[in-house]
Amino acid sequence: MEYMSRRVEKFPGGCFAAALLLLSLAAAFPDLARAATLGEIKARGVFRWGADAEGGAPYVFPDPKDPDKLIGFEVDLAAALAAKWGVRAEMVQNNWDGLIPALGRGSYDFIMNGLEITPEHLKQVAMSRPYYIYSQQIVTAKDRNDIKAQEDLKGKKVGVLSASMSHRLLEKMGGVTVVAYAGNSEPCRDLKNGRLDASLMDFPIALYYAKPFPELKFSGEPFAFGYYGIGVPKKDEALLKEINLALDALLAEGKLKAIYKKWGMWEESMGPKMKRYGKEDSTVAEAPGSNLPWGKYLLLLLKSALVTVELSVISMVLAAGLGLALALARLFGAAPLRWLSTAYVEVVRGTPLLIQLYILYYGLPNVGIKLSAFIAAILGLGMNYAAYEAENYRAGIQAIPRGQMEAALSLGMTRLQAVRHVVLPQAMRIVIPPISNDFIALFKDSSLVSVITMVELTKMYGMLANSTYNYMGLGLLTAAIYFGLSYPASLAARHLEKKLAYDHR
Amino acid sequence: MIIVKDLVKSYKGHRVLDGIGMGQARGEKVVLIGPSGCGKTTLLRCLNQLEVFDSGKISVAGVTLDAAADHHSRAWKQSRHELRMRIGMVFQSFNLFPHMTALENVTLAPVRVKGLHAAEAKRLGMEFLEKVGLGGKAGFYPSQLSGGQQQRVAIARALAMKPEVMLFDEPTSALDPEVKEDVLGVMRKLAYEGMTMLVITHEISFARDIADRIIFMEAGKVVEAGPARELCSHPKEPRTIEFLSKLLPRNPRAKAAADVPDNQLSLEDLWG
Repeated sequence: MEYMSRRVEKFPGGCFAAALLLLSLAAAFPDLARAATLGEIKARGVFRWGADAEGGAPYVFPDPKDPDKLIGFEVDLAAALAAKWGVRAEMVQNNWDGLIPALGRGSYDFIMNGLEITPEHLKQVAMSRPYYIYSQQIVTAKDRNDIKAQEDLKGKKVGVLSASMSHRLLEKMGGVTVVAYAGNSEPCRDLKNGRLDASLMDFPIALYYAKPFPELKFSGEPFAFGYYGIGVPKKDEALLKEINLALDALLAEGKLKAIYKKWGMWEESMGPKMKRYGKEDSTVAEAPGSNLPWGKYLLLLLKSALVTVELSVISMVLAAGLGLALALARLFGAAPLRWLSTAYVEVVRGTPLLIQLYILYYGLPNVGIKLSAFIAAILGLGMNYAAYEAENYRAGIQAIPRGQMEAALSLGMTRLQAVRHVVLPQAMRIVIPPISNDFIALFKDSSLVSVITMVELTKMYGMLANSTYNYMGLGLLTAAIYFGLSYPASLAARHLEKKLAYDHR
Repeated sequence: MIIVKDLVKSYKGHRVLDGIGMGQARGEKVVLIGPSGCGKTTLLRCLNQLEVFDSGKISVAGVTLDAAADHHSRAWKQSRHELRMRIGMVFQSFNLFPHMTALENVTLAPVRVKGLHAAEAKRLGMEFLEKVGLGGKAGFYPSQLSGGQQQRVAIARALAMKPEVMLFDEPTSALDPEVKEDVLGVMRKLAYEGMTMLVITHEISFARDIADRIIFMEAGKVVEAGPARELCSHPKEPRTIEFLSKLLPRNPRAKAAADVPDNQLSLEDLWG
């Protein structure tokens, strides 16, 4: 198996012209890379399937012992299909959220990555017979005994994988404080840290991620059964038929059972259910807001925009204040202060914000500090931007001629007075453009905090777009909200700049 | 009033002030002259501690700073503050605060350092602006004033702190000839009123008019010092003669004077 790293999603560093060329090719020949029939696949000697290996255990994920190699039950299933057809299997990496749009663009022949058979997925793609029956498993801390069934989750704080079936079930149920995570290990860690009452997970995920935590346990029986199926473009009926035949055969031969047993995912009750497929309805929950009027989307987006504004403004106030203190310490402080300030700026600027957020939110509980997601987000953004603001201030202060400080000192002012009344007021005017520029950057960077479960504007867009597949319309709407908020901010900055101007010539 | 003793200041191994000594009495006007790089500006900056000197001693209006003392001690900082309170400084490049009006420039230090009330400071500020002939420009920002006006505001700013000594570091070098006279006029007035002044200038005729004494410096040392008229007219050291003659290029005989090895030629001739 070849691990093709985001083959189409991200151009591997080629120039802009090459990217444009590729784009226009893809537009002109949308089916270039895709085979529409088994005949084409056999002629080509390989089939390509789309999946996301990031956080994808036990579906598709890098082997911990040999990270170059991908393993997982879907990898085994792909190998079984390949053996049946006498071809090779080739996995194409794609973000899970974007698997269906990328199939539409012809990035691979079909999707096989825990894609649930649901009405909304069936609107987008044709789906095969199920290859696995999944269910929902409640996971809690070892000592919790009050949560045993779905109803018990009401009024509790429950972690889920964002946009997963668990997420939808809880949204539909209502009355639950849902915390959406980008990955599967994070909710387990937060359960352990006591930030969550419970986590609801697809059964295979719970097996792989929650089982290894000695502090956690499975509470109650799995419920809400559903099916994973292979997603095929709607027009490729012939290919779908062949896939169904192959899956039927693998089930009859007991090969599917063998794969699931190997991964510890098999329960005897699954066998009859898989065979009876079609006669029994699966439990499906529609995505939140999959069929809402536009006004509702706008309202949801505006509400999350409020979170974005709140985050950006508070973090920027923190960044501006801390940045000024750092700059003053570096320029006018005693030696140890100077070193500390310099070290802070270099370290914080030289490491990714994403990692800082992870450390603040998931790392600090290891040393007994449990910050709420909001506080962690403010601290992360604020402390990160403070490093940049410190440099802005420093440049601004250093741009003030030395004679200004000297004149103030010669009048008997202290250094502090000179900085406060003479140097800073002049430096402020210089640093307002770069700082307001940074504010607008922070405003957009604030979307990074979705990794620590904050639902702000970009995250809300992602969630809505995922469930509606309306990437274009919602994307333009979200972009318009961002612009509508950031443009007045830059106008205000320009006004402030004019107000502080003293060159009245 | 001012005593400088064995002052040494080095920059990267170069002795800018090489054990210099001088004295100045209360009410005396002294002009420092010398080629650029001779250390005269550094001497002025050492006097109000914009530069730290390496060894030696200064004393201004009874406040003494010794290079040997601990510069981080409270006592040293207190003395430095006292020293600066007694000294007013006027810079070549004015160094007005561009974000403040002329009046605010003058009142900032009285308010912040001496704790004057706003109204009192304003009255004081107007008094000194009027003294330099700029009462009508109180609300103007430095960028709205000519160079000569800016320098006069800077003088008013220094005077508002009621110093006992005024230091002038080439106050007219950055000015056009036509506005120089405004600034020199203000300085003449100050001198007439009895202010103790230490002035660096290349305006030699101005120096001869107001100075009680002229000190000629070169390479961080005093080469020659004496009463203004006498030093201008009968300098003793050949370097002084050479330097003075260069300051008077308008006179064709200046060149001849520079070539005279001894002071056989009276420089009085050069004043024409």
